[in-house]
Amino acid sequence: MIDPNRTLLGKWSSPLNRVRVYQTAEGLDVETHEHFEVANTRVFYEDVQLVTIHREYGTLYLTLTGLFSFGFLLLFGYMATLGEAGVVAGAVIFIMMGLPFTVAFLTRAFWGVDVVTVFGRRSKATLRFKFRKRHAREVYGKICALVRAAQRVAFAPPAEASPAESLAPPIPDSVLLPPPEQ
Amino acid sequence: MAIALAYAGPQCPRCGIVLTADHLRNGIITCPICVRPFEATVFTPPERPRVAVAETHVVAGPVEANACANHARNAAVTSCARCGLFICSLCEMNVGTGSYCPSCFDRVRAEGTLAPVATRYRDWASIARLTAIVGLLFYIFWPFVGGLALFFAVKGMRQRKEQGRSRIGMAIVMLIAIGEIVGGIVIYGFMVWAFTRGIK
Repeated sequence: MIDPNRTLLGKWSSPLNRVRVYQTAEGLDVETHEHFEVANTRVFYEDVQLVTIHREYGTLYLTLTGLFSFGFLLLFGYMATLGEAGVVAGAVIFIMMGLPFTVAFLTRAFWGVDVVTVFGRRSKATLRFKFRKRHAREVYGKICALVRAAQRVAFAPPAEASPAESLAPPIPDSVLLPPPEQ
Repeated sequence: MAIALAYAGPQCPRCGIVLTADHLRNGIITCPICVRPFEATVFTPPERPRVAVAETHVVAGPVEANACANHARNAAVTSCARCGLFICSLCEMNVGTGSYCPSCFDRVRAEGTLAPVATRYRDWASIARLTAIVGLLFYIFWPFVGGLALFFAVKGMRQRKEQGRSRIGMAIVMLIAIGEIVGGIVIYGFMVWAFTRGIK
């Protein structure tokens, strides 16, 4: 059952899936959209063993976007050397095609991606932040604080149970019980 | 379906190698395999205290009450929605869609048919969106694609309602689907009209 009071902590898209991580009262809800299926996992604060933060650049991402932007630039350069005015104007289209790859390459190369990972006993949650570095640090601190608070409460020594809180209610006299086995 | 790799506890967030207790500490940790650093906060959640529950959780019921199928000393409080077995409050597994006995609960959970405990489900809203938008490109098939998109949108709407999420997106998809159906009928009508006019 989805908690209606959950708040979105972060979301991330890749060519294979879209991931959204929500904060709930009990833990982190990870919602992974894989094509037309949604998989839900949860990391309980009580089970968290490790929370990490690091910055990554993604070698494959940088290589691919770098290759594409370089390729389009090369095509533009080659056509520009032909010298004809019409061809040079036409070559601008290659610059336009290569521009998104160049922007993607430069933003990743300069800023990287801040990754916050929460490792539980049975599952983990990963949050990625492209631009909001301060927010990533805040989320890291917030998760650590929530985990600390939850583990302090959950594993506090139990208070003495009063007889009124006992699990089994008293058996009324009207109930006929079978004789005890010998 | 994605292949789920077994999760084996805290790992290096960079290379995914499982970290032993020797490597876990607060502050900057350098992975022993990829030799790249990351900042970490370690928590040591103690084992959950194991609470022993008495096997005979006697629930008083009327004298003529049926006994639980699993606990003869307990009065049955309900019957399993799947197999009809009489079950006591100790056995009752109710997640909002009815009471199940423990074995039936395990089965329906494994089948994935018990919606509240399903961890993987089909996203009808995404299917509806895609059908409606891609369908716009093929105007010849608009009535069929529109009908299909409307069907998925209704399912998506129901799913969103159950999840307590916004249904505005699905309402827009429904409007597009209805537009496709109406537009398709108009196009077909025009084609029939043009064809008959051409014959005369």
